[in-house]
Amino acid sequence: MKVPSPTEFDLLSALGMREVSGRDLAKRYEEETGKSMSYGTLYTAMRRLKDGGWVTARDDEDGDRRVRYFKLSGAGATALPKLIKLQSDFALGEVVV
Amino acid sequence: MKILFFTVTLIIMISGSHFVQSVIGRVPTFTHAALIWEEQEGTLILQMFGISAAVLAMVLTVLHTMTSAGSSINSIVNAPLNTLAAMRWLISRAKRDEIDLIIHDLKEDKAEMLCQKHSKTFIFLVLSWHVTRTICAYVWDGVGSIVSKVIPLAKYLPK
Repeated sequence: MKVPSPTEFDLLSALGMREVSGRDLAKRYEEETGKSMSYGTLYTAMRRLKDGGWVTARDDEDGDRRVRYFKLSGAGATALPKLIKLQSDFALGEVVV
Repeated sequence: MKILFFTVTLIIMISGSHFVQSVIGRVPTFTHAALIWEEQEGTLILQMFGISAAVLAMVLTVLHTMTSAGSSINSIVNAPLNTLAAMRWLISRAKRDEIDLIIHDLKEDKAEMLCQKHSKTFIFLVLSWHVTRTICAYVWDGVGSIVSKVIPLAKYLPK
């Protein structure tokens, strides 16, 4: 699995373990990071994460519109806590490269 | 019709400036020599006039569209969304679904802003901003895809 970029990592953190629609994910990202993200950036980043095996996507109909829901994949749910721990250890200087 | 008007205006202005320059014996060029004000003053003025006129025509066309009689809130604030919908034909089929999703999400944002009693100018500006960022994101994504495909070919270049 390809290591996510900082933006993709923030998206994965905002996603959590629940299934979230694209629009709700953008709002959650904004609340958690304080930065706004365009829907174009969000969907392209989530597409890359899906291609990398981090998330799964499911399309659904909500009235007259289509909605895409994202959820951490099994491999993503396993790898993300390890990646978070690695990043925090790196920040604390406990990892020597 | 408006796009045709703008395009024709642009062509006439640029061609006109080049024609006049050819008549007076100056070569229409953007070389370094052309930027020397004392030598190419006439050329620079004509080119700036042509470009300014074309930009002005474009701005007037957009303003006319925004303020034309019979325009409703929906027609003005939907203009950025219609632009995004037109852009979907320029990208690959796999990504067109994403554009549809983005348009639906922006429509929901528009409905929220209308409920919050924001002015149509504000809504238009917000949607235009989001559409611009979306288009830039897809252009950047496209450039990245092209570069990632071209780079492996570099190994076949003669050393």
